[in-house]
Amino acid sequence: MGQVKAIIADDEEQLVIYLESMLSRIWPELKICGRAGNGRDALALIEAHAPDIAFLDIKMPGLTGMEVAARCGGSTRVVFITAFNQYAVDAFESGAMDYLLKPVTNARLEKTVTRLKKRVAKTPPPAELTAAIEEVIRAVGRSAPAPCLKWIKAQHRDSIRLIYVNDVIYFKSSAKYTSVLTAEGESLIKKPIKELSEELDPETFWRIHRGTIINAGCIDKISHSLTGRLAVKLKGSSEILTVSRSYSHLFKQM
Amino acid sequence: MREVEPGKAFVLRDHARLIARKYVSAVLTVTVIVMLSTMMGFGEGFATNFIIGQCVGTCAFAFTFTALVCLRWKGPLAQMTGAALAMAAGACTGIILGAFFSGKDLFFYLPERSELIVQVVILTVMGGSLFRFILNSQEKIRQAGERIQREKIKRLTIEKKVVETNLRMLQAQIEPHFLFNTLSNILSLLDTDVDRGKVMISDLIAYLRISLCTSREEMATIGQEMEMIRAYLDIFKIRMGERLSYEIDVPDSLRCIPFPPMLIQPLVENAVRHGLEPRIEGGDIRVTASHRPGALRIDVADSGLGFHEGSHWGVGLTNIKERLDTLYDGKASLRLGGNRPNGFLATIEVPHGTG
Repeated sequence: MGQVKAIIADDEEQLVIYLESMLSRIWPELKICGRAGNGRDALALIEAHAPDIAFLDIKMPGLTGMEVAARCGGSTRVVFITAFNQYAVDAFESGAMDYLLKPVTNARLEKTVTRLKKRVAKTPPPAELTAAIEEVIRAVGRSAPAPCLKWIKAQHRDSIRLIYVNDVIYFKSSAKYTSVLTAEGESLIKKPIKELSEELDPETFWRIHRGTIINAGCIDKISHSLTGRLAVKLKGSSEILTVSRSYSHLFKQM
Repeated sequence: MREVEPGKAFVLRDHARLIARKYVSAVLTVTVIVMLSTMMGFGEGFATNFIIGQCVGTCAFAFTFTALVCLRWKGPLAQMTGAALAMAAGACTGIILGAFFSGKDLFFYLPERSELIVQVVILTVMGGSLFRFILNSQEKIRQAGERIQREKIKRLTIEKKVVETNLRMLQAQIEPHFLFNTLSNILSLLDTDVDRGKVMISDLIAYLRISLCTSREEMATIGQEMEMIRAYLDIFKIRMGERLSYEIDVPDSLRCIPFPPMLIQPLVENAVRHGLEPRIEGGDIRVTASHRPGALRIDVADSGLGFHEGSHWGVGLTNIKERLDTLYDGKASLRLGGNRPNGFLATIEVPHGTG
């Protein structure tokens, strides 16, 4: 076996320097053939040098360590470097992955190096590695379950705004967009009413019509026409919105 | 008879029980009046009086009720007048019906006993109004009780929310990624550049001291918060090197103003984590405080990625928004938008002074 080559990628330069100096003590034969500060540079280094080992920080600009690992394939063995993240660590433990926890300690690095020395000789088949990476990506994704929609990215006059969902008085579909009314005026979003109604908290946001969702906290008055039709007046808007029959059950309990 | 809540949709089924209860009390009242008036020698004997009395009572009740449903959007004066008119109309209808049921010829009464009919109508309106008044007062007492209960629940909910937001704030302070990454850097600097390592340790101490101590107080000051942000950004300046530059621009006159702790820091953290760190070339952050009559304004602007797919500004911003709403009773605002030419701009505005 020839000289083992490695690259190190971390967006924090200090950490690259540190890992390199620790490796030079623990594994003096290892040749560091490149250092990168972002994912794109890391991938370029891997393609240029085809190193045996790539130490990749997970959170990097350009491409994340995960994305770099998923794209590099070949014979490069990936060691992820990560700060505390319970889900990710669990996934690493179960998979065939190598990882280092920040701050990297001597003892931990020695253990990893011992394992690497054994494994570099026989790299796992790419399919196995890809599967392991996918497992990790899934696990990391699990750590953030999708909650009810809280913030809405909307076009407000000529700029983009984030609107807190409880500040919305109503959503109303218009030609191509959905119009969002708040105390500060009207904004536009691309998301259709149907999709919104699935993502909004149904306790607060009531769909009263095919094209209208209102904030129940803003209801000012409900009027009742002779034919039994309901109409809603909301605080902060002078408009009277009609409730279609199929949604009038929402008001029954009032 | 507050059968109908003003300003709400009316659904007969929901009110059926209330109406039935009120109608029973109306029938009992009418029976008592009929008995009394018969004993006083009023009218045509108990049976006839009872039939006519119940017809008058029922009609007046139904008419008044209908009138109130129709007038539920109107003011109390309109409702009172409407109810009185409906009672009079109900009384007339009731007399006709009652006469019919008791087999009396109404035309027999009309010429000679018109006085009696007028008396019945007046009695109905007066009695009915009194009846309404008494039932309404009872209803009001019941509603007041309910309102107190609701207020109590609301207050408890708010208290619970405050405790929850405080807890979340505490958790937000020492974000594990931040702590472990910073410690990694310090560890590294101890090998390569001891002096900078020492600077970083003192910045970390400053950051932790202010953030941990102020979190237990309800109010910090603008100056304290800015010192903490300075320490935080200094740490990131070492970590990110050339990729980060920052500026904090706060007039001295604003430094002593009390301000809730840990409201600005999460905005700065967002700017670093979601704006600058993911951007290869990094960028700069500008934190400014300014005031105009009646309001104090804090801006956190960055030149990072701005709005982009996969940015998770959600949780932190929701915490800030909810804390602002609770602390300032909805009078503070958090505005979030794009910064020009690129990046993100977050603005907090809170009421300040009397203006």
